[in-house]
Amino acid sequence: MADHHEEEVLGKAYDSRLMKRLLKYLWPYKWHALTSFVLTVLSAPLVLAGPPLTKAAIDLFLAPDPTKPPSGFALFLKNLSEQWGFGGSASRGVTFIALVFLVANVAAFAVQYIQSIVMQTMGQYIMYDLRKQIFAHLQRLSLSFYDRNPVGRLMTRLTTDVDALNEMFTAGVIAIFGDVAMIFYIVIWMFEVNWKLALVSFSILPLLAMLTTWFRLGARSSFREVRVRIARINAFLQEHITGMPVVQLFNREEKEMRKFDEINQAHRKANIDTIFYYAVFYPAVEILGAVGIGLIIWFGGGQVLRGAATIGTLVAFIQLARSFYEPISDISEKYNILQSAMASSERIFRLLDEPVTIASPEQPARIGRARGKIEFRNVWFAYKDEDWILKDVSFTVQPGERVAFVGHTGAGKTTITSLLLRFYDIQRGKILLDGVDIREMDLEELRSNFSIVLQDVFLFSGDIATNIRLGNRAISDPTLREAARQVHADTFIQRLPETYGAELRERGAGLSVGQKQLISFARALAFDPRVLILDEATSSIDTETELLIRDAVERLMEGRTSIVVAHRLSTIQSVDKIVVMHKGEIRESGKHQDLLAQRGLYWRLYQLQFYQDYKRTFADSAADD
Amino acid sequence: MTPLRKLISYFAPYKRAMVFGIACVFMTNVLKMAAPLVLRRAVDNLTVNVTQGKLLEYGLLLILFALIQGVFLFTQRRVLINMSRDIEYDLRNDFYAHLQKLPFEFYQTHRTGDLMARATNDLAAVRMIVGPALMYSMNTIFAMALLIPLMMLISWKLTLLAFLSMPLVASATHYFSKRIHDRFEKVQEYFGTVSNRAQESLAGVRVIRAYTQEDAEIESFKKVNREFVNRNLQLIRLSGIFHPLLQLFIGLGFIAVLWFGGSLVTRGVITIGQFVQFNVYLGYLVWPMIALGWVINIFQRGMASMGRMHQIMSTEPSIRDVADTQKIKTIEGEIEFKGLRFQYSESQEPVLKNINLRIAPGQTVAFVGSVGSGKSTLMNLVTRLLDAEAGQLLIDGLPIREIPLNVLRSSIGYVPQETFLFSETIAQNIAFGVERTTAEEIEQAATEAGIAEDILEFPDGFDTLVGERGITLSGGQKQRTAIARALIRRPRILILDDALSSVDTYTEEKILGHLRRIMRGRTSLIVSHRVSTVKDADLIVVLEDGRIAERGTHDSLIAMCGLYAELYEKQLLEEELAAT
Repeated sequence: MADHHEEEVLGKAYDSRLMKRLLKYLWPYKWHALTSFVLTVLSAPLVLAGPPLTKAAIDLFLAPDPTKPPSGFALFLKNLSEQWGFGGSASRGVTFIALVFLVANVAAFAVQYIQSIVMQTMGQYIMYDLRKQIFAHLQRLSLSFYDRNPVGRLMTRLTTDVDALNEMFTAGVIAIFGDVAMIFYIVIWMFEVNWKLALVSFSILPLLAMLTTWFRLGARSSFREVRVRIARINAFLQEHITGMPVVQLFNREEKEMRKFDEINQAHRKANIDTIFYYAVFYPAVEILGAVGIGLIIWFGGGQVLRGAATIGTLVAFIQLARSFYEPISDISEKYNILQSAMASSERIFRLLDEPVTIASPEQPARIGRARGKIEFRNVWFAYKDEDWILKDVSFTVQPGERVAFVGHTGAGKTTITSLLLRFYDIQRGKILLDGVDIREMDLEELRSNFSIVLQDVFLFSGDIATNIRLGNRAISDPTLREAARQVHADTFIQRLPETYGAELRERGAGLSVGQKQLISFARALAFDPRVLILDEATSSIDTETELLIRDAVERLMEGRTSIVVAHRLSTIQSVDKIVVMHKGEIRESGKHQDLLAQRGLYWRLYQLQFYQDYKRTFADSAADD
Repeated sequence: MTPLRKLISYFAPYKRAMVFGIACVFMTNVLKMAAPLVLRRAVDNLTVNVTQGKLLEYGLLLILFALIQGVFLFTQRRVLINMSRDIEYDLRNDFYAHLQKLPFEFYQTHRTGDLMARATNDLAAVRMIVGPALMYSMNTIFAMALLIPLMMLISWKLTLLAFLSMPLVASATHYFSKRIHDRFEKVQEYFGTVSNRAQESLAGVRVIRAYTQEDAEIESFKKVNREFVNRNLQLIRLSGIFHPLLQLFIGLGFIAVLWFGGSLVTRGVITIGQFVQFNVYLGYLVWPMIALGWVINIFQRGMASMGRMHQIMSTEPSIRDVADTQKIKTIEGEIEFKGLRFQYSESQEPVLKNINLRIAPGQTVAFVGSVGSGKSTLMNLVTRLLDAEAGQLLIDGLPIREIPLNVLRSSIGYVPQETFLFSETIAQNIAFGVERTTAEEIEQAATEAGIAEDILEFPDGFDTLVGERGITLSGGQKQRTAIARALIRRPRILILDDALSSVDTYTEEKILGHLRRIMRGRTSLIVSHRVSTVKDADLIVVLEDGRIAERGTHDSLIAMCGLYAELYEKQLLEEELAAT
C-alpha cells in the first residue's frame, strides 16, 4: 500500500538539483545531445517551408499586386530564380519555387531522420548505463535493505522508473527545444510579415492553451481510473482461471459471473468517461481553428482590401494557423513526461544513495581456505533498534564439528546462520572464523568458505547444471555430476529428457519439493565449502525421498564443520552438539541423550516436535498386535 | 461460425447506433468539405473587390460550419467508440462465462498466461476493429468519395498529379506500422527476459550472496541489458524513419500542386481561390490516407486476435448436462466403479485400469499409493472434473452423467491437493460453496477444521483478507481453511485429496476426530501417503500403476505383507531411526 502511494505521487516538473545529477548521465553522450539539439533547431524552418514559399509564389506569380513590389524573402527568391535562369515567365518562376520546396522537403526528411536516430540511440545508452548501475548497486546492498524493500518495488526502479527517464531524455528535453524552436519560428515569421494580423491570429492561443490543459488534466485522471479498472479485471481473471476447478466444484459460476459483470461494467464506464474528453477535445480544436481562420479572413481580408496585406500573406497565415496546435499540445504533454521523470529520478537516486553498509575492509585479513573453527563471542543482534533477536550469545564450534540449533520459531536459529555469512552486522560482540573477526575479512573470502542450504530452495531459470554451479565457471561438469551423485540427485536428473541440460520451468515448477532440495544439496557440495550451513526444510516428503535426503545430508556434513537448524530427528541424532535456543538466548547445549536426561527445555521441545509422532505410531502398532 | 461472422454478430444489438454513428461521420465530412468553398469565394473576391461586411459574413460562415461539424464529430465519437466499448464489454463477459463452462482438462492443457492474453491483449485488439478502425475507415471512404469529385471539378489533371503521392502515404503507413509493431513486440518480449533476470536475481539474493555470485550476476545482467538495447536500436532504426518519410511523401503532393497548380493559375485555367481550395483539400486527404494504411493493419491484427478468442469460445464444454440427465434433487452417496479405465488421451498410457470398487453410503475409504498411481485422477472422476467412460462410474446406481452436474457437485465437499483460496476474507472463503450461511456456521466449520484458533489471532479475525492484499497463510492454514470450506457444505461425499500433508500430526488427529463425527452416515474418500491419516478407514485401497493392488482394513493389509505393509514399515523405520 505504502509502495502504491509512493508511485502515484507526482511533484514538480523541474527540479534543478535532480536535473543537474541527471545531466551527468548525459555527459558521456554530449556529442549525441549536441548534434540532436542543433538538428532539432535546424529542422523548424525546413518543416515549415510550405507557407512562406506558397506566399512567395502567390505574391510573385499567381496573384501579383502591381502596386506592391516584392520585398524580403519573396524578393530574395525572385532574384535567385532570375540568377539561376528561371526568370522570364511566371510559370518558370513557380517551377523554381517548387524546386526550392522540394529541396527543403528532402532536407527536412534527412535532418529529422538523423536527429531522431541520434537522440533515441543516446536514450538507449543512458538507460543501459542506469540499469547497469542500479543493478550493480543492488548486488552490493545489504540484506537488511532487501528486508525493507519488497522485490516488486526494486523491479519498478529498474524498469518503469528507468523508462520514465528514457522518455524524458528522448521525447522530453530535446523535443521541447524542438517545439519551442517551432513556435518561435512561426511567431517571428508572422510578426515579421504582418504584426497586426499576427496578433489577431494569436488571439485564439489562450483559449487553445486552456482547452489543452482541461483535456490533459481530465483525460489523465480518467485514464488513471481506466488503469485501476483494467488491473482489477486482470486480477479477477488471473485468480479465477487458476482457481476455476474450485469455482466449478463449489457451484459458484453464477455468483462469480455477477461479480465479473460488475467489474466489467465499471471498466466500461471508466472508458466511456474517457471518451467524453476526446469527443469534446477534437471538435473544440477544430472549432478554434475555424475561429482563427475566420478572424484572418475578416481582418486580413480587410487589410488586403486596404492594400496593407497581400493575398499570399493571407493564405500563408491560414496555413500556419493550424501549425500552432501541434507544438503547443506537445509541450503540454511533455509536462507530464517531465513530471514523472522527476519523480522517477528522485526514487532512483534515493536507491543509488542507499549506503552499502556491509563491505570488505580496505585491508582485509587473509585466511584463505579456513580450517573451520567458528566462535560467537557475546553476540548481540537486532534487525531494528533494540528488538534483540540474539542476546549475549556465545559458543564455539571446532573444525569438523557438527552442531545443531533447535528451538521454537523466532528463537534466533536462522539468524545465527545469516550472521555467520555476514548478511547482517552485529551490534555487540564478535564473530570469529579461525580466530579472525569476520568483519576484518574480505567478504568474498569469508563467504566462499561456506555453503548454505536454505529452507526454501531457490532455483533460477536455466538448466539444472546452471542451478548447481550458479555463475561459478570453476566448477567443471565432472565435479558437478559427482556432487549430484553424492547427494543422490543424479538418479532423477538422469531420468529427465535432457538430464543436466534440462531447463527448469518457472523455477522448478515440475520438480517435487524433495528433488529441489537434492539440487540445492548438490549445489552446496559442488562448491566444496569448509563450513556447511543447513537450514532444514520442515515440509513432509514421501518416505522414499526422505531416506535419500537423510543420506545426502550425512554426506554433505562429512569432514566439514556443520551448522544445522534442525527439524529432523535423524539429523539431531548424528550431531556432536545440540544448542537449544529460546528467545534469543542459548538455554542448553550438549548431546542428545544428555539433554534428554536433563528433562529441561530440550526434553519438552522433543516431546512436542518429534516424539508425538513416534509415540502414536508406536501405540497403534502395539494395539494391533 | 467463422471468427468474422462471430464478430459481426456482436454488432446486432447496436445496429441503430452504428447506422446513426456512420451517418454522423458522413455529415462531419460534408460540412468539412463545404468550408473550403467559402474560403475560395473569399480569396477570389479579394482579387476583384469586396466589402468588409462580406468578409465578416464569410468568416462567420466558416465558424458556423465548424460548429455544426463539431456537433457531428462529437456525436460520431460518442456513438461509435461507446459502441465499441459496449461490444468489448459483451465479448469480455461472454468470454469469461464460457471459461466457466470449460472443464478441468481444458485448464490442464492451457496455460493461465495464455488465456489471460486472450482476454486482455486480444480483446483490446478486437476492440480496435470495432471502434477506431470502423470509424476511421468510414471516414476515409466518405472523405474520398467527397474529395475526389470536388477536386476533379477544379482540375482533373491536378487531381491525378496530387494523387500520385497519396498511395505512397497509405502504403508507407501500412508497411511501417506493421513492421514497427512486430519489432516492438520483440522488444517487449525481450523486456520480459530482462525483468525476469532481474527479478530472480533480487528474489534469490541470499543464495547469490552466500555463494558470492554477485559479479557473475552483474555480468549476466549486463548481457541481457545489452541485448535489450540492441533490440531497441533495431526498433528505433525503423520507427525513426517512419515519421520523416511520411512528411516527405505528403510534402511531395503539395510541391506538385504548387508547381502544376501554380502554372494553371498563371495560365488562367483556375482561379487563385481554386488553388487555395485545392491545397486545403489536399491537406484533408492526408489523414484519411494515413488512416487507410493503419486501419488495414489494425484489422489484420484484430482478426487474428478474434480468431484466438473464437478458438476458445467455440470450444464445446465437454462436461455438462445432456438430454438423458435425470431430474434428481439429492444423492445418497453410493459410489461404484465398474471396470473403470481412464486415459487422458488416445496416445497416452491409461492412468486407471480396470478399477472395480463399490463404496456404500457412509463408508470411509482411503486411497494410498505412490505419486502417479492414479489417486487424484480417481477423485477427479467422482467430482466430474474429468469424465469417466459411459457406465463405468455409478452414483447411487445411476451413471454419473445422468446426475445433474450442479446436484452432483453441491453434494460433494472437495479439498484439493493444492489449496486454492480467493483473495477475499477468510469468512467468504469458508462460505464459498454455500448459498446462505450464518457467522456461527462459519465459525463452527472453522473449529471442525482446526483453523478457528488461528483465525482469531489474525488482525481482523474472520474478516481478515487472504492473499496479496491481505495476510499470507501458511500451507497448513490454507489446507485447514479449505477443509472448513468443504465441511460447511455438510456434503454427502467428502473428498480429501492429500489435504492434510501440511498439517502436523497432532492437528491431523483432531481434525480426523471431528470428521468421524460429522461424516457419520456420509461417504468419505481420503487420499494420503501418511499411514496415520488412513489407518482408521473402513476400507483402504492401495493403488499402483493405475490398478487396485490391495484392499482391506489396516490390520488385514498389514497381515498381507504387501505394498501397504511395506509403506507402513518404512514409516515405522523412520520413527525408529529417530528414536535410537
